[in-house]
Amino acid sequence: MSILESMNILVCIKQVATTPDGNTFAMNRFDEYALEEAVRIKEQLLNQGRKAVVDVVSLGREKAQEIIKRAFGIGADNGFHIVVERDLSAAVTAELIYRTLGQNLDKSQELPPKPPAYDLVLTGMISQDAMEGQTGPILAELMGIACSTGIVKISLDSKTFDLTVERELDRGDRESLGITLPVLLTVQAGINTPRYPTLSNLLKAGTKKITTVTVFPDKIPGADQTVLRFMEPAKSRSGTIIRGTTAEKAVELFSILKKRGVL
Amino acid sequence: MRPIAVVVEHDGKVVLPVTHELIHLANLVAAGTHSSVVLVIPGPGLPDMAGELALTGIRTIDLAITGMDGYNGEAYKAALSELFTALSPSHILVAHMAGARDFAPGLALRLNGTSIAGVNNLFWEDGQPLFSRPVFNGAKNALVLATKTPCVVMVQPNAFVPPDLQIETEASPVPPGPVETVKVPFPGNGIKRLGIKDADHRGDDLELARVIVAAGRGLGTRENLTAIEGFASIFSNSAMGVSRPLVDDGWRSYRFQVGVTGARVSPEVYIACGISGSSQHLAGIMGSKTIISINSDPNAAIFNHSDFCIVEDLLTFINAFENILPGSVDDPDG
Repeated sequence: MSILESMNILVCIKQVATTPDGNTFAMNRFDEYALEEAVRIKEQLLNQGRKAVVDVVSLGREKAQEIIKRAFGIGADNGFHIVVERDLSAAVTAELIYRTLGQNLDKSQELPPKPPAYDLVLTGMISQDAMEGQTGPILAELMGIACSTGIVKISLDSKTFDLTVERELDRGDRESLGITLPVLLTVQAGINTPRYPTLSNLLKAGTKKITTVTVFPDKIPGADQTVLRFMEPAKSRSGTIIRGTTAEKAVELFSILKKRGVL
Repeated sequence: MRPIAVVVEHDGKVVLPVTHELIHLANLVAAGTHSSVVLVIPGPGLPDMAGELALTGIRTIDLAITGMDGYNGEAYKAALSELFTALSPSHILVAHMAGARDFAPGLALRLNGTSIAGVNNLFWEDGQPLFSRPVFNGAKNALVLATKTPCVVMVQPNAFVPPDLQIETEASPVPPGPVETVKVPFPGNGIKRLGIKDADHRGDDLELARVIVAAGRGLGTRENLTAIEGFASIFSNSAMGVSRPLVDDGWRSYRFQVGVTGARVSPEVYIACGISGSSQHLAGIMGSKTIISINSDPNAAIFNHSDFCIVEDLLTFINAFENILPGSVDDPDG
């Protein structure tokens, strides 16, 4: 049982491209669920006369400040934007988040002795683009706190601040866990229905300041892994392309289905 | 040479089949790097399982974590990092499933190494093993070089199925590998397991259907599900399924979900409508006899795993298909 005056919550969010041409961006879908969960916990505590603060952090290009503003609209209180101009591995991303929030960006120095003071850290289970699910667990390891992944339900005891959560297993089964803070949880999609930014929050958001930290290339820690190149995935089936006009394709599909005896 | 370690995937009672995929990959990496393989069974102490796995002829370590109640990611991380600090493997192979998802990235960091997620293939360049993993929802693979060791390889299930699934029998000429027991205490942490409950009712009608018409995010709006239902109703003994994101968004209940965490299906014909083809979805449909995909994005990953590919706007195509059916106004024979 932990007795806390106020709960400090951090949500790690990422901006991802959402169309095949890479020209449309949005907050990673899984992070939307994590942010919604954080704001619900904050509301629960505020309703009961307790205190809670939701910070968001995003590492990414200049443009990523869009999702921090959106997070303000949803109910986040403070935003941190770590600006880098290229893609980084999950381990390097987590390290930069850790250093920034611990206010120590000089890679020549030891990691800050005092980790960023958050009771609860939430993030999406994976990002839609890289699909690794590693940044959260690595950040937890850096912060020296426990971690659990693929969370599909969070209940908070507003008196003790203890959590009861459900974690998704491989076949959709659920494991129930009792957790004492601090902890980092990665959130599975479907845990809630994320809200849209409200007008009043968006108006307030205009007055909120994003703390921006630009990381110059020489300050980026050495990579633990490198993507050498992108490749076409192997085919597991023949992939015959049906060509022609829409009507011709429909006729061809009809004959394929007929041959298989399902029409 | 530094060994290649395999973290055995089990449910506490039996070794899960994915373990043999890990061993298969470990043998491939070991052959190319002239090193040996070692199997590690984390758990409460599983000597019978260790004896069974040693029949493969491979050195096996029963890593008995005392004080752990069921699976605990922190306990795995602590015990494995202690063992691997002593063993110093160059590669640590784990199944990318619910367990490793928790402990593998932190384990890699604790060992000052790196972890590669979702690994689906092995390549060699200059005598060095490289691993690929899917990106952009499976539309591409990224070829990854680890620049720190050890490299924790999080292996996608079904990616390295051994050519011969026969477990070594008594007639096997291979002498059993040595078995060792290593005990590591776990003092406990802030996470306590309270229990497990089974998934809600999965889609039994999906598992029985001869034809499944399934919809994904490419559908656009919830209202368009009506068109998919109509398309499915053309076939007898058919069912409509959906990909996970539609269940997450509340468009349909869990019992419609097809994929690794929903129904695993094997119909005569599976028609994927606007489904991008994540590895989780593909794992649930690979038993289908014929897979037909309709998607407006010609680069959708699902096309690599389909027998027939139709690049079209979904609703336009379904409409065109319905118009050529016998009895419809455009029926060529009517």
